[in-house]
Amino acid sequence: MTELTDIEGAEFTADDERIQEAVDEAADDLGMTPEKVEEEVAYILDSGTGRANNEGVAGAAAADNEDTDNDPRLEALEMFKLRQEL
Amino acid sequence: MDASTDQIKAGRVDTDSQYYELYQKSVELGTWDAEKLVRKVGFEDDREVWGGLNDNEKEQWARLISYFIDGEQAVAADARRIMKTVSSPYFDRSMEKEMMASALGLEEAKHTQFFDLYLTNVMSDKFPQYELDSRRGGIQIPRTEACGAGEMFERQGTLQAQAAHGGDPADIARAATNYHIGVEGILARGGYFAKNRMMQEAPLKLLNKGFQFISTDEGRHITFGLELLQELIEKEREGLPDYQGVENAIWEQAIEDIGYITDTAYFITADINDPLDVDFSELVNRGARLAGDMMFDTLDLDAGSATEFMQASADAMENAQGSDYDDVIDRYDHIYSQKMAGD
Repeated sequence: MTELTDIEGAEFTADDERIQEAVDEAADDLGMTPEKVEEEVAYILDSGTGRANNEGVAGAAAADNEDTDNDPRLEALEMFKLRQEL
Repeated sequence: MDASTDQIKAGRVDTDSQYYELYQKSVELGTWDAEKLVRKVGFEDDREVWGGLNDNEKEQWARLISYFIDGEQAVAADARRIMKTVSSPYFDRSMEKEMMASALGLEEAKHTQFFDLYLTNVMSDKFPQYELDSRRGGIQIPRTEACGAGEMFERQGTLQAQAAHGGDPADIARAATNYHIGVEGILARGGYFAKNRMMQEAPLKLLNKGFQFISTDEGRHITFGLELLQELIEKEREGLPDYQGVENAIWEQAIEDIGYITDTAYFITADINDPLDVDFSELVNRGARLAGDMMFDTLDLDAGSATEFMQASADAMENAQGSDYDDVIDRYDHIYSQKMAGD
């Protein structure tokens, strides 16, 4: 499986530090390890291929999503957090 | 906090298999509850945005959602055939493939459920004839019947039946190409591209969330299909007689499908003057690039080339521009009305 920071094929607008902070915060909230959260978010984006080919998430968000800076990694993280509630 | 992230020892299940990884990720990511999603996000904001759209804008959404709900129902129905096909003796026997195919079946049924809930609770004014299930004497939605997607879903059923009922490797390759590359990899992903554009003018929040979950599930299905095709291609390249013709079958099917897909792209955009600015050419180009990534980067297909595929897409664009769908929609509206009345 690919590291979240190694995924190719999409435009990333947030820096790696912000991504790590967001992953750590989500892991704390969800009672999971940051590594597991990162693994799941990476898989949302690349389905195990190493490339961000999830058009529904890695493309533009619904209108402009200020919470995620339109960064596909943060968009995928938000989706994973919602998924854990469903 | 999870006690450990170490791998747990397993017995007969091969946890090193790529199919097991896909299955496990389906368990972890694909078991979302569609009812909980609509309750959590709610229909209210989407109804407000929907109510503010003009009729042309609503029609563009309706054309897109029509092929999604009919398509999800078609792929869910064919999932039972995929479960059978992956246990074919032409594949290396593995329960992990069957586990993944089972997960795929559940997920496709759930996608149908999500669109059913959404359409019924938000877009019902554009679908006066919708609720009659094709299993209960209905037909596909007239909009779906009118465009290439409708034909593609019918073709999918035929190909999957041929593959599941004693099909040879070329039959299996055709069915997998149509389902995983054509329907999931290009038609659906092209739809996500379109919805991203349409959401800029018409931000339907719940619909977008649903699409995000669905496209994530479909990503695993596409990887699954490409793994199956790679397995067949490797055996052809090893020179095994039964597998000769696999690459040609993939190429021929992809060329056939690009006609249906491009016609659908035209139907949801230029045919109605594209009120939410998707852009027919950009949509087709995106689809062709996605197809190229799958066929030539991932599968390393020798049977055709990216240039030939782009040319086939361009030819399909020209053909689509002569299409007239209104008569077909009217005809199927009439058939649907008769079925609703029980005639």
